Amino acid sequence: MLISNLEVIPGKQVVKHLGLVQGSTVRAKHVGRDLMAGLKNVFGGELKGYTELLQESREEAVERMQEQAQAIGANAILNVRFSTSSVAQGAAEIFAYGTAVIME
Amino acid sequence: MVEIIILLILLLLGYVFGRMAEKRHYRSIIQREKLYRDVILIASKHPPPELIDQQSILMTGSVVVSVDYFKRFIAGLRNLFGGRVSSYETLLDRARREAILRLKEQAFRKGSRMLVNIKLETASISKGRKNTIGSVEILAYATAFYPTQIP
Amino acid sequence: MQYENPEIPEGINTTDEHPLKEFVILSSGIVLVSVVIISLILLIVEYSARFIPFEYEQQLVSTFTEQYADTAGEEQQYLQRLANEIVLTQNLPKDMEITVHYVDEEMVNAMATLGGHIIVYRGLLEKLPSENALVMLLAHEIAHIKYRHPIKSLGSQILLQLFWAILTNQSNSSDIIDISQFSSLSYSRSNETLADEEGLHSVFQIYKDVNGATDLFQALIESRQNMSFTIPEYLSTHPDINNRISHLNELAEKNNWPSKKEPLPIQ
Repeated sequence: MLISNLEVIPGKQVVKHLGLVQGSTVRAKHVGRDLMAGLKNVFGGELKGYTELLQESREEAVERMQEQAQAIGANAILNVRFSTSSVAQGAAEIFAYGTAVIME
Repeated sequence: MVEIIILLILLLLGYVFGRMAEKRHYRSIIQREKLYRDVILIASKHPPPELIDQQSILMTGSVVVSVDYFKRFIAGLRNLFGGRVSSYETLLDRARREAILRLKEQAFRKGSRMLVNIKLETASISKGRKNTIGSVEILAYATAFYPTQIP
Repeated sequence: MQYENPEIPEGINTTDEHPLKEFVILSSGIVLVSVVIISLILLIVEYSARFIPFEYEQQLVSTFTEQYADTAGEEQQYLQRLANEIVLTQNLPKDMEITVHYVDEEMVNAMATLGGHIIVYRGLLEKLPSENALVMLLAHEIAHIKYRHPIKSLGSQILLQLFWAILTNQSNSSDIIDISQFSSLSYSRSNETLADEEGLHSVFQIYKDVNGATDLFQALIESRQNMSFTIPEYLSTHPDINNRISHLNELAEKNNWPSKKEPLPIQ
């Protein structure tokens, strides 16, 4: 499965557009990570726990988007976009969407 | 003691009504998605060349949804342990599909069968007590192509 | 180019787990973790209280106990005299200082609090039939202080509130630590039993007889029946009084403490 945020892949031809596919996940971090982040807010620096959490969530969102694309018979997703929003304190939603296409 | 009873009643109400509303909403979404199946929606920026003689207009569809007490409670517990907050996933899934459906409905009424370059925005409008989720707005917008009307 | 809009199967972006199942798992997890943490807190407080100097306890409440200093009357001097006598029987650590305060109010109550302060209300004093019962009361409260129950109670209260604040995600720390609540400390059942035993021992040491000591509890039971218009706080925090009376009777029997002499009247 080809996943790209390009419109056009050089040397490849889109045969069929299959519409919008999307993947999303909402994740929360546990209290321990919250406390560590609170400490880090004093000293600054990267919040490794959060980076990891968001990275994992993003991977899952992409996987779900891919699953949708596979279910409708696409072999590539073009023009992929990500959006992250905090829906509640301590919980973040990661959302990925793009156009499912069949390429030759 | 009174507080616990109130909490349990709220949880029960939230669970029963929230679940009923969710099932009803999903039924309605699936039915309407079938109805507007022939409105094509793509995320690419370039409109297909066949649409060269059609007019285009920006269309939006939005929805604000709120979460029930039961789900909020579960999410609060989840916040302690971490992990997937599945109670919000269905909420956002429904909201997003509803917003897209409203966009499609609007375009359909205009006579459009093609929506290009869709973008989706999520915003939490109001955070509830203790910063838990109150309500979320999903905005979907895209360019609709529709045939030129001959006067 | 072809365009199509195929149906996407359901359930990809959602988790198909029954919410009630999740609810049960999460709640039982919370309960389990809470029980472990709370017992850990109580254990730590129980063992670390001895390392807190008594002086610190006195400083902690000095501003709040000043309000009682003015009421020094006959009753207070009498109570203080009795307390000093009891102190000799209980082998208190040297730095521990017992101060008795008499409050001229209807309330049927008495309590031991931080810094070696004991507060006795007029309401309770009037209900007591004999000096022996009064000594039992004071000795009970002094035993609380001897075993550092007030600071243990305060420490565990603060830590439990802190834990509760973390659990419910409160960032407002102002209502976590409130020393002015010091007089509403409550003690566990085992602490009460310990203080009862120590109290009865003191009564025996002073009078060589334990008759009349349990009248204290009798007075409390009566006041519970008569005084429906005020909430007898002393009762609400104290476990089943009849059990305590029978426990003390057993203790007296076991140690062959006599119970024959006529109790002395209150002066």
